[in-house]
Amino acid sequence: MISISLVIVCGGVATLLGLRLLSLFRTSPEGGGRLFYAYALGWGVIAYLVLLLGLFGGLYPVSVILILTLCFLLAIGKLKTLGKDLRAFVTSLREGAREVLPVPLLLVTKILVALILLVSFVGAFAPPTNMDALNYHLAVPKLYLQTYKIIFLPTMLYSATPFASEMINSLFMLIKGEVSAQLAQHLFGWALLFALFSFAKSRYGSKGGLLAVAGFLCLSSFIFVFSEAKNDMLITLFSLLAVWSLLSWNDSEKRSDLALMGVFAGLASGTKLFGLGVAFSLFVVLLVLMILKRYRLSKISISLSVGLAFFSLFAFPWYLKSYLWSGNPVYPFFYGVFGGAHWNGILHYRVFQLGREAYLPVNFINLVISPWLVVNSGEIFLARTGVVFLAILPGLFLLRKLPQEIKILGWFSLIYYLLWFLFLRDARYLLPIIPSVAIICAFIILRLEGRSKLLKWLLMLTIILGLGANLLTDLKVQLPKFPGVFGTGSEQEFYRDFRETERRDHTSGKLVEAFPEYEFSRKANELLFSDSKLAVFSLDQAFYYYFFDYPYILALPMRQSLVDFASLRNDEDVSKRLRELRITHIATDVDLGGGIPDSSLLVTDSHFAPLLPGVNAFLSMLKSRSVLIHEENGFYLYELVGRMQIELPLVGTQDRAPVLRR
Amino acid sequence: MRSSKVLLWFFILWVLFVNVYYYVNFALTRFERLELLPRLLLSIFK
Repeated sequence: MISISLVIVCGGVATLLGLRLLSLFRTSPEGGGRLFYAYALGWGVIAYLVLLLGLFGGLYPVSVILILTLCFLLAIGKLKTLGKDLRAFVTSLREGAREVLPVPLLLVTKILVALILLVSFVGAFAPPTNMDALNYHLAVPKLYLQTYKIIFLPTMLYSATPFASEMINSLFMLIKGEVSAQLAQHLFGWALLFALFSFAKSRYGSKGGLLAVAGFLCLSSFIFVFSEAKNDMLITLFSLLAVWSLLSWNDSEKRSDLALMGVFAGLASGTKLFGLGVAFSLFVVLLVLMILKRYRLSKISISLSVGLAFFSLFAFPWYLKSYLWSGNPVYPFFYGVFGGAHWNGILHYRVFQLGREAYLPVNFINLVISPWLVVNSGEIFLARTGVVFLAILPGLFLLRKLPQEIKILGWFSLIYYLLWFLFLRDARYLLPIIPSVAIICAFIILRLEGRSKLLKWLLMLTIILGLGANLLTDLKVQLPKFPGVFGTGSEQEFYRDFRETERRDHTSGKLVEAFPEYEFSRKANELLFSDSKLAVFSLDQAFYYYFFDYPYILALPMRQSLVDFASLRNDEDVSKRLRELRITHIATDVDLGGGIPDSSLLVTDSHFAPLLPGVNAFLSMLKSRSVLIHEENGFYLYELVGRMQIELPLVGTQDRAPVLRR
Repeated sequence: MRSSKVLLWFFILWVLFVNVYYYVNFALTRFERLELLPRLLLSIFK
């Protein structure tokens, strides 16, 4: 209860700040949109304030509370406006509810939407369980908070990328804990859905609003991220507001709307790198629109400059930070173009090329059939989308004289889709255009329902089936978390009893212990000293390291080069490097008696041959210069001998030298 | 007028086809998982 209250209070402060800032733009977003513009803008600015605080080493609870208080005082004059906007929004929801109640199909749709929202909401109160959330959305902020400072963490793959959402996670983790951070991200999802409803309602009425939200919730991959501390909800919210601003500009031709489009496109680019794709698509559409409106070149230049200036202001700092830290503004991506500190060709191959070989090859035929494949062969795109969009979108060909807003939404989605196909090809990364696509689907249903009763039933059935399937998925994802929500056991019991499909083989459907490293990490936290620093060593992808309460680096041969395995030749080299990095302990899932397993990429892929001597030297150093101080569930904690005040005898389990089989 | 009716029927058939294909395909590719269904339902209603 404290967590959700805190998130709501902070959300209120963010909205007030956003309202104050919006008033500077001298524009009033249409259709009750101001509330969402303000909420998102306020949080975007607070994320920057947390970044500034962190860069100067001020990540303390008191400084964060002070900043929030200052924001509140600065914007206190907007309390009345906030109250008015909230009342207007509630009234709009009530009207919508009344309008759809008498229609049975819409009522079923509404009930399914409400159930998905409810189940996801409850699930968001559980301790975090998502792999990405635990391994970087929350793990990187946790490392920042240990030193009260935001620094470059070269072994955390994405620590130099835009991190607006993770700044908000840091803020909540500092004040309350990771569940409040998770709830904040979850509420961005609610804000996104409400904004989508208001946006669609302002153009197509309550029914259009409900259908757009229902269509959006049919996206299977959204269900998997909705209750997690991930940044997908925030980037989609920023993207939707950027598109909304573009449509407002198309109607009003006010430069302030262009400025807001730039702001939200900038914030989207400051949340995740592919926000740049959102910005690019919007600016291309904007340029075409200005040409169609027969703007003069000078007017085009000025208007574009306004949009780009605000875009740069809100996106640029993240890319500058990345450049200053690593020499690459989009670190660790595009290594071939920009290079990057603590990164090299072997790592680039492992992280960005090896996996992509399994992706669909880029060619024209694959592009044409990709909408079919992304639905029916979701595994190629690492996620499922559901069938709703594929089924409904061709309905556009039946309509004549499309309104311009639908054309704009369509072209924006299409350009982003092309970029996505060229560079991303992960179905989850389609999220920024799904609100636009959902609005187009709602529009198609509304326009076609009068033409044939059968078609109307079929389209609604498509939505209802999509929602029903996603409700089942949601129950499957969230129900196991409920013991952690309703406090039927401790957090320790929750993590111990939590089961999920096998981490590296999701297709098997086999349920296994989800966090075998949890107990090990807890015990390690008890055994470590205040000046301890861990190196996590694993042969490829590390296990969950979030649960360590002490600073750590990831000494993964194929994912970082801070500990450069290609240059290590013997025990002494390894020992020296670890001493330079002030490492005192090693946590690993490698059994010293077992050597490198045959299945490891290090053994099976010749690209990694240069790393093998270093890996062997590391294992040999562990055997000769460390002491096993704890072993649990297949995880081992070693203390480096030089760290000890007194020499301890080596533990007997390490009597076999690691064997390298090639 | 006639051509738009034909298009409408094409669209009706398309919506029917993709839905049936998707759900049948989904069920078949996850056939081995169907054995988990009773357990899932039990866990829901427990």
